[in-house]
Amino acid sequence: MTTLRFRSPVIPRGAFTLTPGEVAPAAGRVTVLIGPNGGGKTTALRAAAGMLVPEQGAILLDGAPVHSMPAAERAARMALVAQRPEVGAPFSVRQVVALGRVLRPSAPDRIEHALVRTGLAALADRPFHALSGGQQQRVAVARALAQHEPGGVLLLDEAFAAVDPPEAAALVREIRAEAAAGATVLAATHDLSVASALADDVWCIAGGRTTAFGLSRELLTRQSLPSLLGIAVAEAHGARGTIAVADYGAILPDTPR
Amino acid sequence: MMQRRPIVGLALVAAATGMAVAARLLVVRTLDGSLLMGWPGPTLGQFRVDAVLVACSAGAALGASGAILQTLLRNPLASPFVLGVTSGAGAGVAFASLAAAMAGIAAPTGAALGVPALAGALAALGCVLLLSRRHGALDPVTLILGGVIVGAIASAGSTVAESLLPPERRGLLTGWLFGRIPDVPDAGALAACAAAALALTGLGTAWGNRLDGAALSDDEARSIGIALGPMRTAMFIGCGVATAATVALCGPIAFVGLLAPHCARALVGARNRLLVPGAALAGAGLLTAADALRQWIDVGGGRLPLGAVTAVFGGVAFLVLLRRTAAGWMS
Repeated sequence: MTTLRFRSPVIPRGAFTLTPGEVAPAAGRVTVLIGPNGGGKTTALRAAAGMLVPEQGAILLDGAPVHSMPAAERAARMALVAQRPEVGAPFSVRQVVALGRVLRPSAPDRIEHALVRTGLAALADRPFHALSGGQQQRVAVARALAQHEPGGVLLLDEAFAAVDPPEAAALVREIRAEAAAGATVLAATHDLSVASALADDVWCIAGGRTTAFGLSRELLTRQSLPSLLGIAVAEAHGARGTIAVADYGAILPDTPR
Repeated sequence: MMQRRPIVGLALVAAATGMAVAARLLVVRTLDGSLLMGWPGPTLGQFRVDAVLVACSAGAALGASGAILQTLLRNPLASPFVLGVTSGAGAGVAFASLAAAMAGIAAPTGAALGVPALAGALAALGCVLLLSRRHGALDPVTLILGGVIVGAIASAGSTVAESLLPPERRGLLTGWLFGRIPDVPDAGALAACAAAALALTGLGTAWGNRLDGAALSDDEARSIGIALGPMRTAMFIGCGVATAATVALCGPIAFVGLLAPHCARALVGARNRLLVPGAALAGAGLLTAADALRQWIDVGGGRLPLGAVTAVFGGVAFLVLLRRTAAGWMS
C-alpha cells in the first residue's frame, strides 16, 4: 500500500510560504483539505503531486521524495485531478479518459469501468469540449480513476466544484469506494456538505500552515468550523452522521471585518 | 461524430497527396494557354521530379512541425509560420548573407544555409515562448500575437539586410525571401530537408501517446507520467531543425504548417500517432498542389511566387480558423 507523508516541507509561493509541518494522510481513508481561499490547499496538493520542489523538508511517497521521482514511476502510484481540467486537443471523452493510461499498461476495461462509474458512458463518444464544466470535471475524475491502481494515492483539487448535486453524490460514493479498497485520498473542497459526505479525516490549512488535522466528526462541527473558516455553521443529520452546512445568514459575533 | 476508422483517413490523405503529385508531374500549361497532360522527355521531366521531391520534403517537414506545435502548445493556431519561426529562419539566412558580403566572402548556399536558418529559427521560437510565459504557463493569445509580431520583425529585418546588400548579391535573396521551389535544388539541402522531415515525423509518431498526454494541463500531463520538460525541449528543437531545413531549401513558406494538421485532423482524428504522419502527408500534398496550381495560373510574365500562393490561400484559411477557434478547440 502506497504511503504519503509531508515531512515539514517549506515551499515559498509568493504571497505565503507553505509550511504544513508533519502530516500523513492515512491509507484507506479520505482526508479532506479545507481552508480559506489562497490559504494553501492547491499548493499542498500540487506539492503532494511532486510539482513543486520544497526548499527544506520533503514530501515522501513510499519513503522517497516525490518531486525527484521519475514521472512514470510516480504515475504508477499517484493520480491527480487539477482544479481546472484542460484539454488542448479535440479529443472525445473516451480519448481523454484513456490518457490516464497512456504511459501505463493498457487496460481498456479500466477505461470503460471509469466511464461507467462517473456516469459518462453515454457521453463517451462526444467531443470533450462540447460538455458542460461539471461534466468536464467528471471526465477528469474518470481519467484519474482509469490511471489509479488499487492502494495508490488519489489527489483531487476541487473536483466537484461545478458538478450537479446528484452526480456529486455519485462521485462521492466512488471516491469513498477507492479509499475503502485501500487508496490514500486527499481531496480539497470548499463545499462543506461535500466535505461532510466525503471525509474520514479533515486537514485545515490557512496562511500556508496546518491549523487543524483530525477526525471529520470532531472538526466538521458547529464548534470547530467558525474558528477554522470564519463562518457560522448549522448541523443536520445525514446518512453518515452529522453534516456541517455553511449558514451564510448568520453573523458571527467576533468576525474581524 | 466521425465513426470512420482513423487508418482509413490516413489512406485518404495519402491518396489526395498522390493526386497532387500526379497533377504536378503530368499537367502543364502550354505556351498558348491550354492545359496539357503528359510526360515530357527525361530532361524536362527531371525538373518536375525535383520540384515534387522538394515540395514533398518541405511540406512534410512543415506539416509535422505544425501538428506537433499545435499539440504541445495546446493551440490550434500554432504553426512554424504563425509563431515567427519560419521568418526567423529567413532572417538568419538574410543576415548571414549580409555578414558574408561585409566580410567579402561568398554567401552560404545549399545545405550550409541550414546553419544560420536554424540559429534564426530557434532564436525566434525562444523569443516567442519567453514573451508568452505568464505565471509559469503559456498564454495562448500572447503566444499567437507574439509569434506574429516576432515574425513581422524578422521579415522586416530580412528586407533591411537585403537592401543593405550590394546589388550584385541581391538577386538570389529576393526570390528566395518570398518562398520558392528552386528550379535546380541543391542536393545537400534537399537531402537534409527530407531527412529532417522523416526524422521529425518518426519521432512524433513514436511519441504520439506522450504528445496526446501533453494536451492536458502541465500538472496533469506530468501526473500521468510524462516527463514534460525534456519532451518539449526535444520536440521544439526538432520542429526548429525541420523548419530551418525547409527554409534553407525553399525560403520562408507561409501557412502550410498551419493548414496541414487541420486537414489531417479532419480525416484521421486528433491522436498524434496518426495525426503527425497524416499532417506530414497533407503538408507534402498541399505544397505540391500549390506548386502545381502556380504552374497552371497564367499571369502573363512568368509564374506566381509559391510563397504568394500559400500566403493568399493560407491567410484566408487562418482567418476562418481564427473565428472558429475563438471559443476553444473547434469540434
